[in-house]
Amino acid sequence: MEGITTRALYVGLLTFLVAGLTYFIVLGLAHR
Amino acid sequence: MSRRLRDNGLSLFFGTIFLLALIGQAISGLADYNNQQLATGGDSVSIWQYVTSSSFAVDVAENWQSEYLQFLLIILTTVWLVQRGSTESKELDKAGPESAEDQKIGSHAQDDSPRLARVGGWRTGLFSTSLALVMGLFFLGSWLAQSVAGHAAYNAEQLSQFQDPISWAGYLGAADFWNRTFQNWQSEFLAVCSTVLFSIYLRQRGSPESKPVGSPHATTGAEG
Repeated sequence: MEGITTRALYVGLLTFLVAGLTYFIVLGLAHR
Repeated sequence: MSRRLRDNGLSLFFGTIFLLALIGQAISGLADYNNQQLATGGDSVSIWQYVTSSSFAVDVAENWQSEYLQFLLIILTTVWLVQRGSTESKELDKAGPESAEDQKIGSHAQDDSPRLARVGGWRTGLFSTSLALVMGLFFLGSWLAQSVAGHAAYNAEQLSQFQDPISWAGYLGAADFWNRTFQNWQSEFLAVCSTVLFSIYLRQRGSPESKPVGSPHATTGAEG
């Protein structure tokens, strides 16, 4: 078992990346 | 040290230095941006204005895309390409996707194998390439973000110099887009090539990225 902390770090990283990329794209579109 | 900290030491360490480096980039990037604004007679901006600018976004995204491309390529090319003696390579006779037995999928799955490795069919097929798929999605997503934010930053620069803005499609063919892209790619590819070759002849005692110190240079597919 890899543990709940590891699963939380994994899901947290995926969420951070998706949110970060969405933020950059929205930012770029807003500043066009 | 608690067991929870020890079990997640690598990810917590790299997550922490990533955040510190990103803060460092925001602070130094702001200083650099404001120096240029001063030199060209523009207004200086606050840290909040800077981290919500397309200039900051493109600088971050162009580095992200090249990192995800690097890992995508190393994950995929090492399925088929081998390098005698390198820790980045598997054993020379194992080139290719390997058998279901080797990969412990379908009827060859163990009791503790992930459910998606056991079920077979398209779900196991998808799970079998999920690492490359997710790396590839983050590469394409970051590259798209680089192009969108880079386009906005480029046009802001054009307008400040009383030049015509260009379309997003036009920016995809612009020297600025490809210069940012290639300058990141070349360093990633050099780093991978260095790791592949250096790990044949050099060692780091105790590191899983190295073979054991006493292993022969020609040993392939063995980790420390």
